Amino acid sequence: MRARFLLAKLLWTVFVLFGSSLLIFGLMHLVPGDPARAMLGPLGTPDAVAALREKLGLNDSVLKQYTTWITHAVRGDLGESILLNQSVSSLLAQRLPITLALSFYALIFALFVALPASVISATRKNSLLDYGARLTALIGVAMPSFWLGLMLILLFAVKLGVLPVFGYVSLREDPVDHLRHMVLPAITLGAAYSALIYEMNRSSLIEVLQQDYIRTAHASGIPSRLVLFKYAFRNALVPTITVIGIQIGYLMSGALLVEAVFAIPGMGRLLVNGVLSRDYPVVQGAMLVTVLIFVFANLAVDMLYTVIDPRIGRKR
Amino acid sequence: MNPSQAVLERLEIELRDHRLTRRNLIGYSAATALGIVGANAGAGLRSAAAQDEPQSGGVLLVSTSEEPFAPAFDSHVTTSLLTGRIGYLAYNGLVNVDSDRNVIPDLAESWENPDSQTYVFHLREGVTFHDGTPFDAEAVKFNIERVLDPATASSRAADFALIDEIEIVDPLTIRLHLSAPFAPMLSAFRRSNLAIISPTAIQNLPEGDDFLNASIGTGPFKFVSYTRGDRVVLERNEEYYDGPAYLDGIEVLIIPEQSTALAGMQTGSLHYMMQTNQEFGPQIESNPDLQLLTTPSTIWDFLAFNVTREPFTDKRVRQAFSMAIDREGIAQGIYKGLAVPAQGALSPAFGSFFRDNSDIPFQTYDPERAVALLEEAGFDFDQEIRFDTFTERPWGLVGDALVAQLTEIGVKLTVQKPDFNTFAAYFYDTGDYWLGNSSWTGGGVDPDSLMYKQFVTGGASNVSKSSNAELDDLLNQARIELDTETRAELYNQANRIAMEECYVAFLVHPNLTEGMRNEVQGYVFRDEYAGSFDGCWLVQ
Amino acid sequence: MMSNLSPLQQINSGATREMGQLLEVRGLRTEIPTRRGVVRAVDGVDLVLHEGEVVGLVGESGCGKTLTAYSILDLLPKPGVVAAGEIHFRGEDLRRKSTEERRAIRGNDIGMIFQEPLSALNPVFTVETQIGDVLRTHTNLDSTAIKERVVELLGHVGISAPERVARSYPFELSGGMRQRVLIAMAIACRPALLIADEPTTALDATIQAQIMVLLQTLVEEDGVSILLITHDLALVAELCDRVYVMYAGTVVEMAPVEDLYVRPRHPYTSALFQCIPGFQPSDRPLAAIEGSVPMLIDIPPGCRFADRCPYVADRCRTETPPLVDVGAGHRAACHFADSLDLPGPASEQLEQDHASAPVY
Repeated sequence: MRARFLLAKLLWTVFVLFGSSLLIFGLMHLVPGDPARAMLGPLGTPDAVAALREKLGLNDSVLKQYTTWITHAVRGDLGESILLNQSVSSLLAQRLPITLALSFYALIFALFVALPASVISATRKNSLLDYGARLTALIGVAMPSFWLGLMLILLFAVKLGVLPVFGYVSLREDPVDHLRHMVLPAITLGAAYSALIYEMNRSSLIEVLQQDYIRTAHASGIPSRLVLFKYAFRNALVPTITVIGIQIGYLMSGALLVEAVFAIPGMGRLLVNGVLSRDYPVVQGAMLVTVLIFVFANLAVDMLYTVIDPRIGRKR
Repeated sequence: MNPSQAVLERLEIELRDHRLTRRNLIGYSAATALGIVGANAGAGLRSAAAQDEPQSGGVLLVSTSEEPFAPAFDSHVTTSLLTGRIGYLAYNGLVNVDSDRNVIPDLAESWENPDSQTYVFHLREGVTFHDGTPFDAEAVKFNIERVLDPATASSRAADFALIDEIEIVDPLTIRLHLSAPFAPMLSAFRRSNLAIISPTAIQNLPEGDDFLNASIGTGPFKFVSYTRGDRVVLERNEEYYDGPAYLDGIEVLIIPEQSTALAGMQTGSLHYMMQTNQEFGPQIESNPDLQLLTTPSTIWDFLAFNVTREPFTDKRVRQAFSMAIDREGIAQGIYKGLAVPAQGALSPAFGSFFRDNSDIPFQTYDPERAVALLEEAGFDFDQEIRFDTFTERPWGLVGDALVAQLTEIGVKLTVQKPDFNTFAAYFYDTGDYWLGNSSWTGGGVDPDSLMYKQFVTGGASNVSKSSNAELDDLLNQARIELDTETRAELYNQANRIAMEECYVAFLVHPNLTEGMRNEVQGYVFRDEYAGSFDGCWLVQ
Repeated sequence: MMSNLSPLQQINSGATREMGQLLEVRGLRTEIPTRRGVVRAVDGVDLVLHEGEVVGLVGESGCGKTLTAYSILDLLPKPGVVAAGEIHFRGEDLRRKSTEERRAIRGNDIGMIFQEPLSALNPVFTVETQIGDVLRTHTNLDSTAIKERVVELLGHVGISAPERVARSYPFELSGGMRQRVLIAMAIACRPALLIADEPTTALDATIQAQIMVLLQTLVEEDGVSILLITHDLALVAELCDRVYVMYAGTVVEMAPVEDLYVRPRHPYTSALFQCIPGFQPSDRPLAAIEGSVPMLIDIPPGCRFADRCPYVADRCRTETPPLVDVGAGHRAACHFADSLDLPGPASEQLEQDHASAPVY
């Protein structure tokens, strides 16, 4: 049954990818402005613009452009960036790992903060500590990441001088410097995410802690710590993981801003620049990858469910 | 001539013909004249505390807020001011402009005009491109022809369109024949406008390959790498004809957020912000580690009226709208005082081309008269008028201010505010708009670039779609007139017509503004595309 | 398999039913602070349970019987607290013990089984893990021994395929099976006392009977004492030696089960009998007790049942009736315990009812 579950999910993924590629393509071409104009500027003579459009294949019908693109795409050829003069696949190969690393650290930060905080809050519900944590979470959600990023830069980089202001160093180049450069962006990206995870895990833990089986565990003399971290936590994790999965999209979109603030050459910036300059192949390629990541993240969450909660995927 | 006049005149030569693209729109504010104004101006356009002996060594870290435009770094094609400035580091031109805005030799040692339609350039001997190939007359010919080739799709082609014949006299002499006299011809060959790129490198570049591999010039720095989204690395050209630069190299870091770049500059992880938004001016000035370079420019922000659409077919409505605008308020509020209210197309920074036209009332704030004029014109105050602006700063902010001020006199506006590329599609391409704001990042070297295409009938950037025979005559006459005084008079007459007719409302001339750390020395501004790091060094 | 349980049997082997007191609760008062005031959910309860004895604790829901059990086990949900009283288990006052000591007693010396067998088991762990954790907590058995012991326990509670059930998740088991698993968990460490809170309420009749037989077996064969908390008087009749009847946080009557059924001495006990189908003569209609349980905040003096009592007198509203001896081992808290002749279910009927109960 699990294999069938996965197969269905995979088919769905293909469908989602196809549908979103169509949607992205359509939307991009509906928006006024085009890359030829972006490259030549408003003073480009009509002849020059027309010549460039022809060269770039922009004079073909949108449908033809789409079929050309999709037939290449399924063979793994995402085309050439119009404005960056590089193949989209190689651009993605450079940029995606950076965004993934950033998202990964943000996720780690979010979990590292949210999970212990939610345990403290849930076990000391309505205490001063709980109120404090909830208020912090509320601020975390409400704070624009752009602003938070700048504040962190001003505090940790400019004022205290302990962390770098911007940029990216690859893990292979220098692992320590890599992490130093990732700290502030990860916190910025992870803050709101952390708050969401915290809220969800807190309320779900509170609910779980009222369940009969928790009472049973206590009645059996199981030590409180074990009850909390084994018996309650795992049950509470199911809704939390849902939030984590759905909000992967949040991480990806948040990366757009955070990468801009910290001048990190990730995929988010590639996408933003692509949209602004109507660099169709880049936007399509990057969106496709984003959708893929989102879909697979949710697939992973679905699979995690079946590991965490044996009832899911087995019971009909 | 007093010192400030000298500055203004210098600017006139230096600023020149930069087209408005999204890129230089974003960059315009800072990307241009990094000169120095006021007290520093007389010091020869060098950075403030230039007192030590030049030191060799060090890598200058420069920020740019925009990804270089493809094909990077094909300075023949790109109209982007910022991309152009990076290209400037590696390329030379036939001529250059000095700090006093005189045309000076670069790759051409000397030149002469046997007649008004002939230019002869004598080229420097022994210059080689970074790839080792020699620079000669053939290379010059190749570069001119490449710009003129429609397949290149260069928007600089118009600057050279009058060249009829290119004659190679000998390997180091080239003669150009023009079909008609063209006053801006010589300055069109300046380093920031026609980069001389290695013909061998361009011809040998495989189809679809990264243009960086053909970005081979003769300049003081040569390209090492360009990592998209991250940085452009250049190193010193030890063979530079004018002697090697002090700097070991320059790294141009792509940092989209200026706030981040500013923080980087404060911590010393960055030396120089290639384009500083005026809003950061006060912060930079108050920091003892940083210096702010700012100078009046020839740029003009404008509110354009579509004169073919009601109610802007009526001159009085355009005049009334223009008089509803508090230009000083925009200069202070949005540009933090780093802008001056505009009268017309030619700014005070234009030196000898500038004339005081304050006797014309229509480009000055006068809301009461504005309302009176509208009433006289029978303007329908209940009519919803579409106003177009775009999100990028500071234009979006200027747009907001305009909307507020026009609403103040009772005009009803429906505001559209997309990104620049969307805006450009109807503002510049289809012309399907009522009124909207943008700016003209004009060339400061010749007034032709600031007025011709904008106001001549059918001009490539005549967004107002105005047509005025008298104006056309004046502008065409000024193009072939070679006497500067006579030209200045012709441009002033044209300017007065544009101001009177209010095809656009001239708003402000924003200053060129750039921030750098104190240890950056010997930086020289030449023109809009050209912050010259040739003689720059770092105090270590 | 039974032989493996012999140590448990040995513990209780010498004990006769009336021998040593296993549990003695004295003057237990449990309070729950609420916004409207402090609720005295359990108010001065005395309760004794001897080794090998099965004692019923009956009453309507909300009478404090479950909270009494939780108070004994230190399992009161927040913000409930034991405000007063002593809880002696094997002669030691549990209230003087630390939280940690009391935790060690739970599941080891005192086991508890619950009403809802599905929700009382953790849905995401296997039976083996859950029973295993109890053993891991209280014993030093290694993991192999624990696995064996789990299977053995499951067999002991009458599960026919213990190995398979051990590896199952609760949702894969039937209601009766789950209750057996819960019982296995509760007796995993051979506790002397088992507190069973409505152990059969959520089960259908056939399964109910099977569980009752299992509990009976545990008493008879393993010598476990049981405190059976229920509102079901039929169940009490079947299993218990003695019964405590609670009303509004207090014990209103205590008696050997036969005495209570033959002659209840408290109007509330009698009223309870009237509510049970099959317990009263068929010519009388099924009754419900009129009125409702008083709020347990700022309790006025007098009998708490007064407002609902058909025999109420003025004295009942001013003077709280003490729990007094009304016969051999029979106590009641009613001013008129001696004078009233209250109806209870006839003992014959009781027997009949027993006979007609489903046979397993």
